[in-house]
Amino acid sequence: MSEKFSNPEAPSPILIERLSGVVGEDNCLSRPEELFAYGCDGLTLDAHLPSAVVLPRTSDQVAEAVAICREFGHAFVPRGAGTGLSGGAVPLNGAVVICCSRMQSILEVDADNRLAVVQPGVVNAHLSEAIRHLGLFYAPDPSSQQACTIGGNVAENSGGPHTLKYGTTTNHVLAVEMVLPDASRVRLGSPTGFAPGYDLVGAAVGSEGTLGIVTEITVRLVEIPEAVETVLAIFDEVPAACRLVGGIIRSGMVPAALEVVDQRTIRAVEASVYKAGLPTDAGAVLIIELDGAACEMDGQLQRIGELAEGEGVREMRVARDAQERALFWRARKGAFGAMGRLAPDLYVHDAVVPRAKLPEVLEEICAIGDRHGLTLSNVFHAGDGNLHPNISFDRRDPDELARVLAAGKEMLELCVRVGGVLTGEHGVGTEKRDYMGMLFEPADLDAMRRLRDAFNPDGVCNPGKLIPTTRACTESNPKARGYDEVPL
Amino acid sequence: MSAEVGEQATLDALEAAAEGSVCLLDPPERVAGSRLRARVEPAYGEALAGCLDVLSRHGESVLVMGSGTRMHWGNPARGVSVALSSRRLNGITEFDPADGVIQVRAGTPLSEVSRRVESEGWLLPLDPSGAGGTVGGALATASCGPRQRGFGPVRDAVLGIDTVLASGERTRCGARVVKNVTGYDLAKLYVGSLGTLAVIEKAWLRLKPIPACVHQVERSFDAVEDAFAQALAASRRSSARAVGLVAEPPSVPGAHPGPWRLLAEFAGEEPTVRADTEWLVPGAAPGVEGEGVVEELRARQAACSEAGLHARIHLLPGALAGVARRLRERGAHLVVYPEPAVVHARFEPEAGDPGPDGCDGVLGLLEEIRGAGAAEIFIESLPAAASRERDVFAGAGCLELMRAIKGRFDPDGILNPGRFAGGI
Repeated sequence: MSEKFSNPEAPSPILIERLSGVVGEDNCLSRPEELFAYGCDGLTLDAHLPSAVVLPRTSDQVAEAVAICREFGHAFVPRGAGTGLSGGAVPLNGAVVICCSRMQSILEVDADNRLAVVQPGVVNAHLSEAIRHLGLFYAPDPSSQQACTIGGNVAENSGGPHTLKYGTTTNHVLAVEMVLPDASRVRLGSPTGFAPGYDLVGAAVGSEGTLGIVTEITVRLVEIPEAVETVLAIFDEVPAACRLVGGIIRSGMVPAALEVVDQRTIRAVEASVYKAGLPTDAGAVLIIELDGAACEMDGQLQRIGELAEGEGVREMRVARDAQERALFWRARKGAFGAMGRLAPDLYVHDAVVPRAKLPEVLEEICAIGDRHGLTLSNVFHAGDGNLHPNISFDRRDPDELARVLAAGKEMLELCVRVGGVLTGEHGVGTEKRDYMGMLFEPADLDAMRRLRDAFNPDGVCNPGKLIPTTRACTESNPKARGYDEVPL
Repeated sequence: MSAEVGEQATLDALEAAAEGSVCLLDPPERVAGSRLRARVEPAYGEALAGCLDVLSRHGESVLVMGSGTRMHWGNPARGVSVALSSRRLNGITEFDPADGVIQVRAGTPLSEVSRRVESEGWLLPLDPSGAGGTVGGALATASCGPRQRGFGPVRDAVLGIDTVLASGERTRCGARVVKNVTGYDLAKLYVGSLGTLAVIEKAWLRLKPIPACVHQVERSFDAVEDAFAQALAASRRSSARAVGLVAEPPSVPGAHPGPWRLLAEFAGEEPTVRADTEWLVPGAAPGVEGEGVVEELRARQAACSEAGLHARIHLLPGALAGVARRLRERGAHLVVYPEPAVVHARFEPEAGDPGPDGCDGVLGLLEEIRGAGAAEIFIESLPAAASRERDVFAGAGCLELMRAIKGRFDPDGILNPGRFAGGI
């Protein structure tokens, strides 16, 4: 990557003036107290102040802001709501943040053809709310869906609990408009789902904002299923819950979601506002959600009940109504918030392993946490093998922070060793950039560079993310940098 | 780039790299617009890498192919006299029935993979048109048949791909797990790239469970509006796995056209399959087993490429009926899938047409359709006379970006030169 865009310490006042000229003074931030909130995303261990924050409302304004950044030799970083968990929106070296959160319009809903066109700042859950009366919804549902934006979801190829049946963001994006790093605008893909040539939409989704800035997204909408059944299967131990997951998958049923919450998480949830009446002495709770035609629900519930009996389930609870279903899900989706009771900080890890390896990997992950003397809990998308080991800690304790980082690395090494990968839905960002070598050979990473360089040849767009570079290692990795620099 | 394999040194080096798998073709074989004088068939990954290293160093372009079932796709290759076939890269390298994932070498026949996974209760969700074909070919062409409604596009089945770049470097992307955002999703880029970016060595694929129940039914409609409304509604039933409409052109221009036949396959849990079948054809005999309906759709789709011009038109569902009626009136044989909305249309060359292949008029009509709204067109086959004069990816956007990608992955342009959009 070119070194051309190594940003100066202080932004030029003329740069700020020019950017303000495009988006208006209210939409261009440059005072330190304004910039502070944009220094990191959900990975708060890694924070860097941007030179400026631009909040455009149109594609034209994004393109103009990019052109000005280029003119001043300034790198820029696209950002949505900042809920990402891998440092993908962190402005390294004082890059300008181009934050699309004010691009909030749903531009078109075509119920007949089951698609919608949205600006990138539309909040994920708001789209489904806006089209519910049409009997449709937008399927990707990350846990942060009440806050995260669809543009951010495109950058990270976000998943969620219902990925098992409906797929991730990449399965629901038909086309995008993108401002390229040279400030030109292109339309990738087609609302028809096919565009002649290379699958550029497939390459762009999940590229973590390193190929350009998405300014308009055409998404596929899905029919709200006729019936939904949500079941809690309560177990004395996690491995039995994982074995039931395997049994359900092998049986040929395709549930909408299979989510496991372990005992430590249950206890945190039950002590919090997300309390759902889960037994705090249970080893694990498996949330099973079925959806589809009403006529097949009873049969599937019965088969799942039989499989669960075979795994020694302690109790099965079927949600009696929508209110109880929401309660069950509140326990799952509120788990991260509930962990705020355990310690001031939470490190949410994200890795994937082959489903059949879940029991042994979870056992080893807990052992790693214990070995490092850490408070570790697990809540995860078991149907996809997507683990989220969560470490509760206090960053003000340097020794504990060092142990958190060491344990995280060990967990990733374990997952890769059994055939898994570094991240299933949070992305690489800065967090795992320097761990990419665990999974990929230099030639593999070089192939990724070839793609990035075709879109972003001089590295001006979101530099220092996703692909390791020697220089970037020491600039952003919290471990390499020394945790005393981490803002409290 | 040499037009022929004139250099004995290149052949000798290939022979050494591929360990005796170089076959000289005398007389030369005509494939994809090329006169092939040699075919190289490496049997394992290192040999494949060695061959590409040799070709790259000698500046020799290569026609990349699997078993050759879809070589009529794409534009003619430029300046190629060597074919590199993955046919002998054959076999299943890993199968995990507990997880429903499998890793397969590129040259493995699809039928062999299907047999293996079905013995363990899984389906291979690749459904290319026509018979035969290899896994590598199915991925490189992204070919979809009647079951795309149930299986999804090819890209959805691919978890990871091992490739060899034009330089001979072996690379890997993705993995064996079903959810993964570790790095760029290069597999999406390789799928459908017609072997112009890299040569596929092997791939991890995601399987689908064999459904508990499958029913197939058929209905006929005289009115085009009824046919398309019902077909789209059938396609949106939750157990729809394949839904297609087929129609012949009127026997003579202006004559009353025959009926539209709706062919449907429902698969899944038995109560839903029964309900969906009953909804479409009240009183239909349940439990129709076998592949009759799907086989007919697949065969008709494949037959579109047997003669004349075969256009694949991607539309929004709402535009299907109007476009299909226009195409039928123009004399097209049609296979129509309502969602995702795809029309396969076969046209005979028209007498009196000024074009070299009698297709100017039809291509003009297709261009009109493309210009009228959301429609994307790919010409799957053309009469041979005109194949060198037309870009079958007509209307492809973002060519500059695609050329930049091609330039990064294959800087000397040795992989299938000219076969892709805009002469890539």
